[in-house]
Amino acid sequence: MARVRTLAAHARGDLVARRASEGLFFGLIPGLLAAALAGTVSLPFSAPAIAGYAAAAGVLSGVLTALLRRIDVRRLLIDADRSLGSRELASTAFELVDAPWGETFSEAVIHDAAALMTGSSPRRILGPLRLPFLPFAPALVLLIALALIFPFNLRGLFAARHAGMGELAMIGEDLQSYGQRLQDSARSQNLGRSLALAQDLAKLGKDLAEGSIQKDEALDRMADIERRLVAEYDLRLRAFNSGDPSAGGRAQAGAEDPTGRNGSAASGAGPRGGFDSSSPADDLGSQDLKDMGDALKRLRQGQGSSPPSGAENGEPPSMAQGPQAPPRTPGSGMLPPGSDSSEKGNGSPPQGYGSGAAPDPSPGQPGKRAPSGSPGLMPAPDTKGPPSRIAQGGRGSPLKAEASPGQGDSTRFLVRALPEWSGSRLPEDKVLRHYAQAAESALTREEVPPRLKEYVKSYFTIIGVH
Amino acid sequence: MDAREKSAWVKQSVSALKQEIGRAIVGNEAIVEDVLVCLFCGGHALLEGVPGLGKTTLIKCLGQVLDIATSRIQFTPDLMPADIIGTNVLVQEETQAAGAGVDTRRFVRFQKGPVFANVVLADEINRATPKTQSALLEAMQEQTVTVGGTTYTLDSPFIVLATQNPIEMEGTYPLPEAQLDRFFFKIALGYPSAEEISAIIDRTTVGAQRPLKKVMDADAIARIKALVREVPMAAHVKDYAIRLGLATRPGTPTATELVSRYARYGASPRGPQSLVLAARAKALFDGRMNAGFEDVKSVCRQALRHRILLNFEGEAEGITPEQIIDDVRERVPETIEQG
Repeated sequence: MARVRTLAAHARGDLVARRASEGLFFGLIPGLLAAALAGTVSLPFSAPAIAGYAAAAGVLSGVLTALLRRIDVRRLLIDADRSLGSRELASTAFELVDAPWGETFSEAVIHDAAALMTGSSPRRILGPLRLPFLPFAPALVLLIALALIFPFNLRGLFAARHAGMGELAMIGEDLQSYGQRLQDSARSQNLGRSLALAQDLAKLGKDLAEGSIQKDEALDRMADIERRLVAEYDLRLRAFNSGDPSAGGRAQAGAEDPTGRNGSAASGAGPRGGFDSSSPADDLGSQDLKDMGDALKRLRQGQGSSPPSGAENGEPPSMAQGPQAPPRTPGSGMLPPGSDSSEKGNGSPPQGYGSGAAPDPSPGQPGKRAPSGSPGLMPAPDTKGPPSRIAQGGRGSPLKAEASPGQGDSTRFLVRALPEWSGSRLPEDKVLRHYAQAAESALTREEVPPRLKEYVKSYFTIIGVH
Repeated sequence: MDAREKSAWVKQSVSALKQEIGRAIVGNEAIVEDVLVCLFCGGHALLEGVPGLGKTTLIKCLGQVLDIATSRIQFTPDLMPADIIGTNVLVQEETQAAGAGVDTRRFVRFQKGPVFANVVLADEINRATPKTQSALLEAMQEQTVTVGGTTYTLDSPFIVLATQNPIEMEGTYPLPEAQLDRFFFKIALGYPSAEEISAIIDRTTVGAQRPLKKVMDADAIARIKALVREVPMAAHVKDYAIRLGLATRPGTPTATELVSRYARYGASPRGPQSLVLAARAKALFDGRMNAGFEDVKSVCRQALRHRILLNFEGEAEGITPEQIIDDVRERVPETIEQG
């Protein structure tokens, strides 16, 4: 029986080791989860601390359960018989100690079993100690370390993907709509290159709306359209700024229409005049072209593949560009809700580029043309929407463009900034602080990973808002 | 003689028996050992095999090496129960007293049948009618014979060694289940190998065979029988034997899939009884003083095959009781977790 007690003690030691190994393994799993989620949610402790605490708790609970568990000696001896190949000698002897079967063989069996147990080491009787899950524990530790070294944001990953897909379809619908309008406009004016551009835009929008193209392909096509669009603008702008509307008209017409029909229209009198034909924002419909630029910009931002164009231009990102922003109507630009009303309320003359951007020739009096020489762009007769941008003072050289007096409804106007597709209509020094405050409020209100918080803060720091 | 000496003596005695029988029987050591297990467990054996495999020879040899009374009954369809157990006959005795005439006295005397022996060889037992077969029922189970209201006790040891031919069904009467269950073992004999056939030919076709010598008497048999029942068996080993028996019964929770599908009836309590007792004997024959799992497993087929009755589906698909037993032995765990 003393030997049996020794065996039971060894068995308990093995049990403790096994349970501790299991506890270590299962304790490391929460540590791995914590490390994986460290970049996503805020944790009360650091991921390594959580891993350490959980592993220690697992080991401790394993040891405690092993110590509290009753060792079934009978079962232990059955297993000992198996490992020794003794054909149930030890377990039979254990029963004979308490309940002798018969006088003949009982003593001999007990004696033989005792001799067998004494002559065998506990390790041989109990078999080799196999610690479950222990080989996997280093792998878990390695995974935890990797998760800490290369963190990833689970929530950001899923949220961006989900929101991105919905907004892409919406942007695609917008692009398709713009493209259709541009096609109509180009057809009506017989502008071949613009028609092709508009068709490509509509096709891109349709594919995006249907989700039939991948992100990379969309970005490539978008970049191509943008490039062509910018080239078209540059071409028209140069022609217009040459000071010779007819030349500009000829250049435009030469570019678009070999027959020179538009050129004659540009040089001739008419309701659209030289400006209408030579203005880069005119013949395809300035609002359409601008909206097309806006849509393309939104597409870039929605994809999240590049920083917001506002950031590239030193402008703050619009707060209305998030996934929850309501669908924009053509002409609304990137303005946050309420921006239009606030601008209208201040009565300042709208400044911007494009016929649809500045319908007010005088402050607070929509419907009239801006006086000659006033800052801003000449409104087109067929205004299609509210002003959508304001030229930023100090950026770019002021350009002077004049139409030939007496030839149609031409107007002299001043370009104070290079054309841009979209952006805020408010001066950034007026809105930046507001945006920074909104961003700060959002950061404190929502669960934003610490790294992203720092990213947002550094953004505002870089652009000079403290 | 202490326990170890007794164990060694049993092992030696059984080895001597096997060796002597082996002089006449080529091969079939396992079959001989199974018959000896039946002998020392006080059980009866049913040997089944095609003609010519040495069933009768084996049993005759056993009768020769044991210094006990043996008898042989050749079962035929016209065999009557009285031919087995005996009958009352009218006996007339004439006594002549001094100065008197001859006194004639008639009385009925029981004439013992061949069942009154220590080893009864019931050759081709399935050729007798069920009525005659049933005459053995009481003798096999109770070791008594009742004739005309008088019960006669059979001498100990008493063992019936029956043979039957599994392929000749014409004119045979399959043993009733009640009688089958009374057999401790059903031992199946297989064909000998080429080497064994060669040895058989050499022994039986050259010269005269030397008669076997008697190596064990009734007293030794009785002592070994008592020792077999003294062999300790752990509770979990006994539990394993019980679970094996239960697993052969269709409709029980522990029944295997094969049992549930193909078996009509499983082992009666005599099945686990046979398993436990035979396991003890096997351990003792091996020189061990306790029985284990392997001893139980080694006698599964012999102890259970005649206690499992196949249903129609099982017979139609050619399932054998041995297949079911092997499946049960494979699926029933040696120990089960308690609590």
